[in-house]
Amino acid sequence: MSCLKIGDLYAFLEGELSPIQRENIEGHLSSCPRCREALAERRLLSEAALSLPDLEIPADFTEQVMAAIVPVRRRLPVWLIATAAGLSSLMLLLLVAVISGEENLLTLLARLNHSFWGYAKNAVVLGAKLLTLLSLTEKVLGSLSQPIFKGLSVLTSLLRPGGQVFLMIFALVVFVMLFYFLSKKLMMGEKT
Amino acid sequence: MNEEKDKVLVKRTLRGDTKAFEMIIRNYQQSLLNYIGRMVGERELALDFTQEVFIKAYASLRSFEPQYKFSTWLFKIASNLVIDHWRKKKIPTLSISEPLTDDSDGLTLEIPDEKPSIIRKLELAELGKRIDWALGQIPTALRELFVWRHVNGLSYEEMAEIKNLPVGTVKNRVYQAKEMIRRLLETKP
Repeated sequence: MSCLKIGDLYAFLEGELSPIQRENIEGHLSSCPRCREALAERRLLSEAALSLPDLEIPADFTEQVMAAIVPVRRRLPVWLIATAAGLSSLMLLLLVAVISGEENLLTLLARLNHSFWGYAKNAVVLGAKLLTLLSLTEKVLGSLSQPIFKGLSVLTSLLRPGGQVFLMIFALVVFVMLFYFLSKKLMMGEKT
Repeated sequence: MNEEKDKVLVKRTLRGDTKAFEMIIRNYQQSLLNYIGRMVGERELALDFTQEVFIKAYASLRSFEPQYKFSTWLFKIASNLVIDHWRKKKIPTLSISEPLTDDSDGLTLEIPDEKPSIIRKLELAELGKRIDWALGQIPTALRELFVWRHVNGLSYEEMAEIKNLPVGTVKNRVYQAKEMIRRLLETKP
């Protein structure tokens, strides 16, 4: 066997040879002092390269980097923005009223308190009415849906088989689109 | 570095947890500085570049695709920064897809018959210093691969992924870098 190639020596050192290739190289090395010397040199070089010292890093490097990073402003929820805007407007109104001297602060607060609970009562009544309306709508739609779908079934059965298939595919596509639209609107997961 | 741990830290950072990104910095600052420092040759500049790598990584964290290794992604950002620096300084950047020599596959063995090896005479620490010097003399593209392999301990597969090259080409370039360093150490003891 002729002397080894450099690539073989490195592959041997890094354990990247097949058992047969390894055996061949070991056989050659046992009888060739030049290749043994070459291998030893490259082994030493690799070991020295692995022990290259770390470059010194300042103790506060992480803090420096963090200070340089401008935190990405997180989008606040709409309800929080609306509440904050409402509260600050209210505070501003109160402040204007007090400064202008038209109203005593205590009187103003008492009036405000009275109005607030009045509005709260109205909101509860309105909510209850809406719920009643929704339950009525559900009842009406429930009783109407049965004859509607029965009628649709009878009507479509009058169509040719091709027409029936087309109509069913059309209805399926509409349902899938509706489902997709709703799931997108209601999606809560994190975007990756 | 732990691949899964990195991905958890990335997710936490994306949810707004800045402490998680702080941990990422602590995990990678030394290896990135070791790499960049040996590529640009100036510690202060290397510190600035290392900081820039983290800033860029933070700004584009959403574009990180979790099927890849986070460390590979970071080193890719660092490598692009270093290449930009070389271009600005008009340092010739050899494309590592181009062969350096005709015998790229079978580098020939040149061993003196009787002379004792110069490398062998040196202690490992002293040899390390000389390797650092020799690294500055070899082509930048080969230096980069050598540093990744021997200083950062990247696998050939990781390096191939960063450079978008076949693993065989990367291995060959690392061998060429080692040979160049060895010859430099022999000619300039």
